[in-house]
Amino acid sequence: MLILDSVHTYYGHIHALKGISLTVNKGEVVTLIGSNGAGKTTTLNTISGVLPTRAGAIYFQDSPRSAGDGSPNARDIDIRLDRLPAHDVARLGVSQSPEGRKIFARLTVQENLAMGAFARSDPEGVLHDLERVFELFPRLKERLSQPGGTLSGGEQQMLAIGRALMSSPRILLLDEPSMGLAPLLVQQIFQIIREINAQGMTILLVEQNAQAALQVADRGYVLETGNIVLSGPAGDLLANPQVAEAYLGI
Amino acid sequence: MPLQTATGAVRTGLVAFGFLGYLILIGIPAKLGGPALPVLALVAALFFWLILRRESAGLSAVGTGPVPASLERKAGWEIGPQSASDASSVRERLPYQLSQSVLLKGLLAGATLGILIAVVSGIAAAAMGNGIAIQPVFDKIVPINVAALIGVSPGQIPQAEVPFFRYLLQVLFFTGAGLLASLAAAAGRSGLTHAAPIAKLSEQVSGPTIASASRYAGIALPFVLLAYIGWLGLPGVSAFGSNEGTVRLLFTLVATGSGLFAWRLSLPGRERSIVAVLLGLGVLTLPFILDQFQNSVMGLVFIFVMMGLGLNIVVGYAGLLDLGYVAFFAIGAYTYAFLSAPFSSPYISNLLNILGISPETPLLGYWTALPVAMLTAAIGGILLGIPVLRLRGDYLAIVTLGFGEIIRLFMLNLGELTNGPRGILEISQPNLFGLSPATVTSGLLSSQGWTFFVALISSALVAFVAIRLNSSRLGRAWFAMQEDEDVAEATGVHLVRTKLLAFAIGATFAGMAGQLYAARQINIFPENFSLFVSIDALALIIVGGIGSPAGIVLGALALKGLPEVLRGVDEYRIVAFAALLVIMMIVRPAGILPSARRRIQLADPVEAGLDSTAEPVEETDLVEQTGTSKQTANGQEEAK
Repeated sequence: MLILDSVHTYYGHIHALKGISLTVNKGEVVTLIGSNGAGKTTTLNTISGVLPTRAGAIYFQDSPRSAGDGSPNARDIDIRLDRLPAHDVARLGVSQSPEGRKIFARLTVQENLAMGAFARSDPEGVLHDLERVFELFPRLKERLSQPGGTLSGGEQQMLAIGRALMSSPRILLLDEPSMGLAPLLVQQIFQIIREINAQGMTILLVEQNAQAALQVADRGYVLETGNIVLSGPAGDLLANPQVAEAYLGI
Repeated sequence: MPLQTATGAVRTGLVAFGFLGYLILIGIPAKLGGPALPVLALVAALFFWLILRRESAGLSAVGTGPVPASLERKAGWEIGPQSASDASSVRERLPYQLSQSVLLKGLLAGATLGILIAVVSGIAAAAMGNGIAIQPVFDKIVPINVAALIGVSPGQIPQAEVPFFRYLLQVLFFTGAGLLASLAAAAGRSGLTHAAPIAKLSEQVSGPTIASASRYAGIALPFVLLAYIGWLGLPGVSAFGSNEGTVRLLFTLVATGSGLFAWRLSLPGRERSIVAVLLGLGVLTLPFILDQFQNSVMGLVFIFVMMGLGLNIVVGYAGLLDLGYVAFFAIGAYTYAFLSAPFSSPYISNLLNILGISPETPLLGYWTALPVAMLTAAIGGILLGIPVLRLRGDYLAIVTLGFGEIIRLFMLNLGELTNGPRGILEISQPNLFGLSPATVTSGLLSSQGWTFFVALISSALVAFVAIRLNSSRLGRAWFAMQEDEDVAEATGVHLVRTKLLAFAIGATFAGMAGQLYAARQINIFPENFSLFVSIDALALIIVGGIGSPAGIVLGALALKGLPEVLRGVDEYRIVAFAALLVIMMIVRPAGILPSARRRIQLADPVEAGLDSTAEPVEETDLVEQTGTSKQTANGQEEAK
């Protein structure tokens, strides 16, 4: 569904991603783990178009949204994301829940969710997705008219994920959903990630909490200073002594 | 408690008297003339408010605490039969009891101050009337000063002809100031919007209270003032000795401003729509009852309301700091000037002569030129927007500042087109359904009244669009962009388009304002469009409350209207004004009437009504309390 082919990204003249290649298949949870500064967030920002790709290609394959009814014209679209501006990437169904949550603090919970559905023009679908978000996060429904900035950290994370889901994405990019949360809340968030995936959502998960991430994920990639050093099924990575030593703190 | 309140109130009154006494001793009333009494009353109100708001804050922190959100919701929209638990909860925790003590205190302090001033000015007047000169002791205590303080003409003092009710009026003015201050202080904690439902609820629970009575008083205030303004305008009425026109202007400003508060004090729903319609009608009568001077000031105020609303879209909604906003104002003004007075521009009259059109008559009337001026300004907005798309914050401010200056220098130096510093002359006024402005204005309206009228209608229109935009999809995109451009873009906001739309719509409003300004001035020159217009527009939205249309109206009244009233105190005017701004920024950093969004950012959490984290605890607390009180009540009944 999403293929990165030796992607290079720079901050000015700093070479941040040195040829990342990874694949996310439909319906999978794929996790990207690594230490601080490895390039995890940079990878996500490059996919979503916030950062420009200097070299390499990002392919996005999916059956188009409107012709998803199996009409003869329904062909898989195959699009180079690296050539599109960020707002068009978002419109294609690549939805990012950014690091540090970055909810719109002065907009209410309702408006935040509405911003998630900004690019959509199907009111009924939006309402349906709103219901779905409330099912996942009943807390948000209670806080609907409250400004986002006044929510607790856990609620803000829920809102960030909810906002990302409101765009009815094809693939969800989650950036450090457990950051700065209490252990109990971390468990809850990962439980919700599992639930969302069970409903058929494809997820690319970036995490520092490698253990929790690998327990949720189907496959994983280990990132180190802009390079992918290891990859494989999540179970294998969990058992890998190198990974255990470097990231699991065992 | 009551005794404490009373002594505290008298003390507050005494301190205020010390302060105002100083102003009187340095001769401020003489400089102000007629408006001295109301202006001093306003100063006293500000003074009282600064003291009372701290007190109300301290009390509420110890005592009743903020209003629970659930109660607000109930109070605001579904006022049905109240259950016993509601009643007790209201009594338990509503700040209305607190408001009562604050209200009493304000009234008492105001009355103390009023009586002191009345007595002192009475003694001074009596002494002067009997030929005793005070001037050797206090050099500024001369008849003209005392007369202004009492509100009579200076000639009446030496003849000892001051009617007694003048002194009563003084007491009344300062007591009113105390009431106003305590109202503002009592409402401040929970916000005016919450004050309305709270007062209503407390009225339903325990009958009419001071809080609910003062709510009705607050709603009635603008109408009383309007009636008063009308009465002051009647021939033969002389209420303040001298400078009566300025007094009326001051009351007009206060009436318009208090209208906004009245609107906030009314309950959402039918009551609010009735109040809004009545207020609208009331304000629309103003151009008919005011004179040329008052109308010209009010016209300028509402031209700046339009400017403020437009700049608010760029700065308040989209978060793009624009210091060159005057450019679009100038573009609108000059566009209309060229269309209305083509003969003033050498280049355009030449061009028209070649085309065989007479340049001696206007090309377009005011209303047909309006879309042209708006469009030209919008194009100007987009032209400015394109190069600054990537700039943020300080850099954006500097570039826009330069743009404003460039436009002014263009107007100054493109002599062939704009007639340079000699300006464009004889611009025509707005017409009405084909009637010439002269016909319109010869009857009911003065020419400035007609400008004011058009300014009112136009700014109502602009305000409507601005308010609708605030809660629209585009508005949300602007706010999201203001918060975080990257995230907004990642949710699908087209940054380029959204930014340019903000610049274009903001510029359109400025173009409208500029056109009306040109019509009002009749002759326009490049120096009318200096940097200070931009600064004024920005200052008024900051003082009023960024993002809040009501606040912007208030800001324009305070920043463009009030200085005209204070013109009499010339050298003190700027000092007073600066002090006022500093005080405002300290006590209300988010502006006088902040928008909900801004309150969140700048105010302290309790004032912004964001104490909801504590809410669940309080709720259970509440249930327990009411539960036990019910039980004890039942127990008592059984015991009987």
